[in-house]
Amino acid sequence: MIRLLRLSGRLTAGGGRESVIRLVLTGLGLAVAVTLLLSAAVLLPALHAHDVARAWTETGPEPRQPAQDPATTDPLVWQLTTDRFDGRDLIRVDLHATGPDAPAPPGLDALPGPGEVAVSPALRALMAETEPALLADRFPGEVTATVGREALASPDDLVAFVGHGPGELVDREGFADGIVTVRAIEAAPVTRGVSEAMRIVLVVGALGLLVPVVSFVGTATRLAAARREQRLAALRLAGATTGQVGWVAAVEAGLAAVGGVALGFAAFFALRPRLAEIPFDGYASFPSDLRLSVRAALAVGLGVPVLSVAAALVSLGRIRISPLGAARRTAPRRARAWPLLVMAVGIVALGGASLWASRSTAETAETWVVAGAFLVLFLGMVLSGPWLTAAVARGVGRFARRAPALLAARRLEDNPAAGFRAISSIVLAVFVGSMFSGIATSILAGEGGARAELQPDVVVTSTPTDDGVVVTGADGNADDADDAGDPDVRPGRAALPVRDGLDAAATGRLVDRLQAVDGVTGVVVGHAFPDDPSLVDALVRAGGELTAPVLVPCADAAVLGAEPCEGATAVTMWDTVVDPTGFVAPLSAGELADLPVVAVGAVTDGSTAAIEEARTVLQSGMPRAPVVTRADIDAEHQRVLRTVQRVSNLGLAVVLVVAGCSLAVAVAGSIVERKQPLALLRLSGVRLADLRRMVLAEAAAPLVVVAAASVVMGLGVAALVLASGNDDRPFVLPGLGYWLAVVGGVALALGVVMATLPILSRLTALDTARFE
Amino acid sequence: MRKPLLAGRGITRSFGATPALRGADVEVATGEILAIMGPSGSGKSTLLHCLAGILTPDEGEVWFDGTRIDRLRDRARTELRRRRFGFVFQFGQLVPELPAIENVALPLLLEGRPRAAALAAAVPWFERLRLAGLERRRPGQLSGGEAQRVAMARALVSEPDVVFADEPTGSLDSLAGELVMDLLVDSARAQGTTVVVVTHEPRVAAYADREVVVRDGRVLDMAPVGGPE
Repeated sequence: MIRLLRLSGRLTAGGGRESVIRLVLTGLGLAVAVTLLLSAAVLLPALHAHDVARAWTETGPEPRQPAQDPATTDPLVWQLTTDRFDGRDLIRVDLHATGPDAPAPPGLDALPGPGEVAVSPALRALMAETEPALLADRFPGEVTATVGREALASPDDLVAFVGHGPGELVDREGFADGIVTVRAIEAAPVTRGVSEAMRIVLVVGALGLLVPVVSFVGTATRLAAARREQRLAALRLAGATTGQVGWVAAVEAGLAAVGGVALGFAAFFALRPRLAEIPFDGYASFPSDLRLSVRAALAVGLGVPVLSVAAALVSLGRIRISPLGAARRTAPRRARAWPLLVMAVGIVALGGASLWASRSTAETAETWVVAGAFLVLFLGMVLSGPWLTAAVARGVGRFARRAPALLAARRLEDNPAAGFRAISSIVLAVFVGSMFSGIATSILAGEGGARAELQPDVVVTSTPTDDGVVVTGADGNADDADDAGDPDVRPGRAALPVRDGLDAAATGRLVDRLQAVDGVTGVVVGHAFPDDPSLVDALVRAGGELTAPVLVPCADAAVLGAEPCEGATAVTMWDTVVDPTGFVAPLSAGELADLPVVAVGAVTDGSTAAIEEARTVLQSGMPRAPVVTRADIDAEHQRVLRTVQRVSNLGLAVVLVVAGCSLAVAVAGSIVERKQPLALLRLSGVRLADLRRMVLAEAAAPLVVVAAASVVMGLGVAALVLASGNDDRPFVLPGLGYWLAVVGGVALALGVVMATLPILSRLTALDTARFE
Repeated sequence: MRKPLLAGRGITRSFGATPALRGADVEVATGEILAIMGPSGSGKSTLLHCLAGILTPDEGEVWFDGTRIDRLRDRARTELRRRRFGFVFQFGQLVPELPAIENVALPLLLEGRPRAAALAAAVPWFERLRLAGLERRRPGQLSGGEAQRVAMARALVSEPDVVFADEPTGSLDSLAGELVMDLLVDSARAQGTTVVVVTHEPRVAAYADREVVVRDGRVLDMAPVGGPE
């Protein structure tokens, strides 16, 4: 056994330049696969680390997992708000410690006292490079501490803890301003609301990445199989049994795999800091959060060599190694057209399933039915691939005018199944990515239209309300079945939530300060809806919501998205909702002015400086009220879809590059296998550039054609799914990010393929032909 | 005496420490068929490669049609081989995925000739080399002799000045070998093409107008061009 292993090792490593090139290429291919698998393996731990680091942001009166013993601490008044700066989230906590033992969140040695502010390193840096009026002025006091790593999910996190004195921060029970009294900081990781559909998306996405990587491992291992088979046949001639030949093949694959795994691990650790910069969930990570578990390391470290050896043995099983050479056990089968029927059934099933799902209420069942239809479609695509490849190759072969295209077409036509194998992962990945991107973009486009009627250059804030006791009907009865169990819905006269308001003097000061901001072109003031039963009933009858209506003069209403009118119109405003109700109140300007001011908006020139300075002024004028722009509202509503879109685009690009690596290995293998005819062509006077073009065309033609077909198919299915839905969303083509991912991915894949071309020059060098 | 079309003078070529040619001299006239004979390892293939501009000699000169080709740049020698020379090797020169007719048309396609024209130029060679009906067959579906005749057709299709044949019958049985040589010689004579054939088989050498023997890197028994006439 040991002797056989040594012999196998010698045969693998000592087989001359070609053998070494084959070994190195296989090892490099496997190294890429290992690096990708390890990167995928640390993705979930990294996302989980984000959830753990953000646990404290869910601090409330009743923590699920208190970080401190509530019996031993002093009460802490706590208000967490999500502010924004230039499109970035800024987590702000205003707090007041009522005693020396008030619980401190992670990352802080001591709570900031009145007039003290603790900020994260990223926020400190941002404040240093930004005009104070745009950002620093939002935090009353002096920065006295830096928030530690323990509180941060990402080095880019913008976090501020602002200390207050007694009376500055008051917990008004039942008031929806987020001010609460706590005795312990939350330590339970943030729970993500991952829906069943999102889970399927993640599973499909993970498979979409895993399948190409596994297929890549197989391709890399089978590199230049024909040449290896010749060597193994020579061994048989020398008296080796089939079992011994299998050992040699396994050792050869294993040696390359061990080298590849070692290189892959080294590359992973070298690339980890760069990997941490990728914002998978919208935020970069700390490199140390990309923790590689022992289980994942073992799974990859052992799984890849095992997979590689298995692929070598399986490919050996397909051929019979006889002493006189390798004979193919199964001739390449002719590609058949019947799988097209499966694909057609899949498309129809997907359309039907989507239609049914849009009308069904059985959420779990519908997602699995849709997933099943996808599976049928996938199966159809994979089975139809060789026939489609052969059809494309025949078409190209018929019309090719130049030698490189002709040679590429004929090679694909000769064995379409092998030609398709190298690019099958591209079909699935591009199809899935295109479909997700198509659906997400269309939904996002729809969301943009449906939400946030606010003009894009307006910054607006409104005071918080109480918990909002809502009465559903004008008659005061909670007769709506949906609301019957809601504790906030009580029978009685239609009532408005109570909300804070500014008096005329404070409003005047705030308006003056806003008007003094460079780039602010106008100020809109919103008044509390009068607690007049007839007006409230009229609002309800008109279909307006009672949650938080604000009256604005009709003349100013357009900037809040309301229709032109006379008098004052009601706009629903709270947190991240700004929706016109369409209700117009017959109030005079004087009557309106007498009502307390509960909302103020600044119309800006759209510049970041103007928007952020106006935001700063509004925050100080109406403390503890959320200040929003349309972009903030859109971002809030589109967060999940954007993550899907981002991950989908990123996955698409990664899979295309993996597929490019597969293709590159296949190309390198085809060069090694055809060394003699290629060398003799070159020797006969064929230019090296022509040979390069020929080899490149063999790889590029199917890559580009299949990627394009998959894009069309994926977007087509996205349109079909949207058309089957019941909300009449029009299909919208994905944006620049998607196209960059596709085109960039294909370009990178071609770049990887081109990187193998130097071996063409070396293996077909004129003096090599002499020794054939 | 005919003027030599191709001549090698004092060619020396080593591979590492192993000398393959040690001052070999040879001349070939236009339209002549020259056989280079010699035992294995004598340097006859190296001599052919030097004459064809595949290898450059360490010392000595190679002249073709009045041009010293051993001093040409690689690009120019590549072009020379593509435009003026044709090659037939022992085996393995056909592209396995291409049908026979496209293999024959390949040099013309690579030269940039339109596909229809290239295929049209390839067709007559199938009749001429007794390959009619095999146009659509792949190399794997051809016998050794048929494949070698397809390779000959490919070497001759672009009407080269010189065809270099390195053991063209080395992998064939005697009948197939004779047919290949008959057709090669007939076609070359019909086109006025010069042929340099490397062989160790006297039967093959017998087709030549003249033969030289290479031994230990030197050309022996060399008769002057035109001498035998």
